[in-house]
Amino acid sequence: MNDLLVSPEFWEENIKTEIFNVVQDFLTDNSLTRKDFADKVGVSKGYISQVLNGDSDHRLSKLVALALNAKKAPYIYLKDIDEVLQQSELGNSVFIDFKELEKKASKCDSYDKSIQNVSNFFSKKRNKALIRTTPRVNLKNHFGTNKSVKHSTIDKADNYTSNKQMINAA
Amino acid sequence: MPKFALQLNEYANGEVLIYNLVVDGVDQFYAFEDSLEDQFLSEFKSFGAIIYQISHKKTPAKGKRRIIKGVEGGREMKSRNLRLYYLVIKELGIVVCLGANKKTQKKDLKRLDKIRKAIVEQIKKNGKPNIQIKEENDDE
Repeated sequence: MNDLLVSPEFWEENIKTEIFNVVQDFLTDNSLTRKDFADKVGVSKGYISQVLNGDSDHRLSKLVALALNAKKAPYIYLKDIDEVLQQSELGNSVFIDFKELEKKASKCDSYDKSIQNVSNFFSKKRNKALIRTTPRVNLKNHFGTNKSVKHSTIDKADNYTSNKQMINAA
Repeated sequence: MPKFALQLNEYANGEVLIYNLVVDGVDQFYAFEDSLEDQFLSEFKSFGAIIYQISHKKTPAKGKRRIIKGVEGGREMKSRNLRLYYLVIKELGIVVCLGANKKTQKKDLKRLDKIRKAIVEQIKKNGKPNIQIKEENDDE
């Protein structure tokens, strides 16, 4: 199997099949003839026939023109061949269903957003609760002053190097 | 009468199973590959790609295959110079039966029809042909 997957013929055939399906579906959905589509793209009817027969070795510019005229954006995705071989050895198809992938990705995005919202909600709640329950500390016991500060100030004070600095900051 | 068996085509690892016909112990798909001169091996690989696509439920371009009139369930896979003939048999699925140069098409279609009749007869007499498992060291 691996010898097939690393052969140019395999990938050429897959690209031809992909283009064939895009053009064929577009013709069917829009009730167009090969001639209609050829005029739209600016190529000969024979060229469209070649595409539909899977015969054509496309020029990049024609490939892009074909795709855009069939209302498709021609993305190109180059995947590491070793990963492809690994996937195949695991019994997975080497074909990628990009629509399915996008669907899953958008589900993940909305899942991430929900998690973020829930996390933000609880974070706000926790902060409020902290402010309400933070005990006030009498600095007199610590530093010989009557000022009292919240814990957050004490935490910040941990970064100072001397008692004097700490008292000034407080 | 030849003895038939089936072997899963190594490129058909998708949902649709495609078998190679084994006649008297000879896998016809590989026998075809072995018979080819180097210049045609690229076209043979294209057949492998089409088999992979069919197995993974992709629809190959129109010019890549056709239904053969006059041979029940007969199909032809096409490349510039070569043809791969296969049968769609209700009891078995898709069976690759023989490959040849396109110049000998008429003779090959007659052979394909003979094979089909012989397979159907064997199914009636003995049931489905055995499905062989390809050993890992077959290539060595």
